[in-house]
Amino acid sequence: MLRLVEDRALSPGGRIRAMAGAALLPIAVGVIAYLWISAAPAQSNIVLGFGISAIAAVGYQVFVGATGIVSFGHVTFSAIGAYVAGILTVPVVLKRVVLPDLPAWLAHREVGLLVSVLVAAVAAAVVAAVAGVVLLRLSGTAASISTLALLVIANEILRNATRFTRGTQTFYGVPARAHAIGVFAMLTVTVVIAVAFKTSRVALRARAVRDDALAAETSGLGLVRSRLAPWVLSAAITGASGALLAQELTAFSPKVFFIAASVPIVIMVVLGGTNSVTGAVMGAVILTAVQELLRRVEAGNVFGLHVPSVTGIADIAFGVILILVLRLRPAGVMGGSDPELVGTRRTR
Amino acid sequence: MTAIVQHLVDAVSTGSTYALLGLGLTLVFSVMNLVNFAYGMLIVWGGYALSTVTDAGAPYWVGALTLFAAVVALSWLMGVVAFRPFRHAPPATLLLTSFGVGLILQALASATFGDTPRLVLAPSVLGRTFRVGGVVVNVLQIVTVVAGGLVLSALHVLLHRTTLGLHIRASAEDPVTARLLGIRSERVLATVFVISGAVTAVVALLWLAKTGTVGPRTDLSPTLKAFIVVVIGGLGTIRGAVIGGLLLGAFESFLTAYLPSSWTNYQTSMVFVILMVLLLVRPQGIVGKTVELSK
Repeated sequence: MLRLVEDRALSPGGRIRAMAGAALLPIAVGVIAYLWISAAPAQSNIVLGFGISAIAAVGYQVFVGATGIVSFGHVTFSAIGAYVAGILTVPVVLKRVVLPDLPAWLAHREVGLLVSVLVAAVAAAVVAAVAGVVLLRLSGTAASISTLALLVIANEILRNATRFTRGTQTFYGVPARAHAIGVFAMLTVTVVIAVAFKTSRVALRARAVRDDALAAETSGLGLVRSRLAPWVLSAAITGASGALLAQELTAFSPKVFFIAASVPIVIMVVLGGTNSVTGAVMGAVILTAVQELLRRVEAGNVFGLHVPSVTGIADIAFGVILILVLRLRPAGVMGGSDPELVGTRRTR
Repeated sequence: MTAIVQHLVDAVSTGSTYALLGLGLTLVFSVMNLVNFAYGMLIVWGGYALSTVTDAGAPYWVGALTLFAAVVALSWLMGVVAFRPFRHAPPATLLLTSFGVGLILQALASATFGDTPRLVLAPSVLGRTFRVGGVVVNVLQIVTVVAGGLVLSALHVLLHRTTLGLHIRASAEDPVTARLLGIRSERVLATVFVISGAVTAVVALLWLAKTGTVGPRTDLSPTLKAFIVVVIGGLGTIRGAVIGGLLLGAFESFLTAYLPSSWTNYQTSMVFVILMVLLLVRPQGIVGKTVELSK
């Protein structure tokens, strides 16, 4: 059975029970998704898009949950992931057309889904580590603003580094390798990693800085060092989600990776509760459902019923949902906790 | 020499606009720790108010007055309806709330006025240029600097010479004690949103005269500039907004002038990177007193 995990660093056994308990949700969601796609292949876009967003949401939660800092710059890492994976996976024959000016060591290379995802994660983590040294020194609000500046810088580089990114032109030719089993296996692994991190001492240090920076610093915890681990891990996960997104979209441009892209991810994590890993997945489920419903409303057709079509209602609804959740249930649907798997006999 | 004076003139006028942008944002931050993501939407909605009135054939000054009323009203409305219920919430929650408010205002603007940007006319006299010993200055630049000085003086008088100002400063310094001493913090909060709205209305006029267009997404540039200005200068201080604004203006003007042409595409990034390095040395901003750890 399940019970709620205590918000502290756990013993090895406790961590494994917490990881197992949290993994149940993505596994269940993955099975439903797999059956859904098998029954209705036409809707695989929605289901895969959901899975990839859920990974990004878990990645975002790792940082926001541990540090309490709202980031508006995480799209930077999905962009890095997407472009790195794109450069690595476009078939060599096609590369001469898509990216004619690529240096030789990249032009003759072509990798599969898993390698591209791992390289993308590492690339995002490296960029995060460098940027983090500056960003994470700032107070919470100033850090949030600076993450936005990071995204603006990244977007400008994407638009101008034509040799690697095709600039503002569409980057195309990425093979469509994202499939349900891969995406949901990745989601499960991501959730397990995120819970393993949440129940670690490193995360506890970050939360100590989050809750009372002065007391934490007085106890010898470094502000930047404590925040750096969740920031880099979070960037790596987000980078991985970007690599998957590239292989789902197959064609994209820098426009895809700007502020608007962070809106659903931010709302998913707030909905689920910023301190909860499984909450991020729940938030992704809820928001995707709302999004699909609203898409039908915008098109004026809800399950065969004709309703007056209202453009822009999705964004308005997103804003309203965000504010209402913050007002009425700031800890999110999961109340900031995650489930832990325990044997029935162990509970007293 | 003339070239340097020219860049200085440009820097001061651009910097004045940025300083004003920072002022509108920092005023609200000082009393409720809110960095308003929806800030730029005030300029967008003001722009639509102005263009709607002038497109209907009314003279510019009527449009400008409409803009002023619209921006002040919207700022007050945002403050009272969306932000005041969150006044005891942590800054991260406030930031997210303002993100939601921005989203709603943007979607409404796009649904009402469409996605294509509109032209916003400004009096042609603002574009008139003249030379002073080789340095080219236009009327808008002078108006901007003068407006900056006037707004700053007015704010100074308001904050330091009136009872209302005393209440605002008290609430900013220590909200709990201010309440204990009988200051009606809710009313102070609403007033600050009105004052901030008035400052924003002035910037909106200058900003729109310079850019000449308004669209649902033209809020990003002013919001971002205002954000950077207050972080560089030090969050929540008037002096910080002024210094941060002038500094950002100076960096932009001098980079535009001296950056090698192969780098010009990366100008924004260069400015941000330089400012980030500055933050490495002073994380609290230039005039920020201490790092506000728990915020």
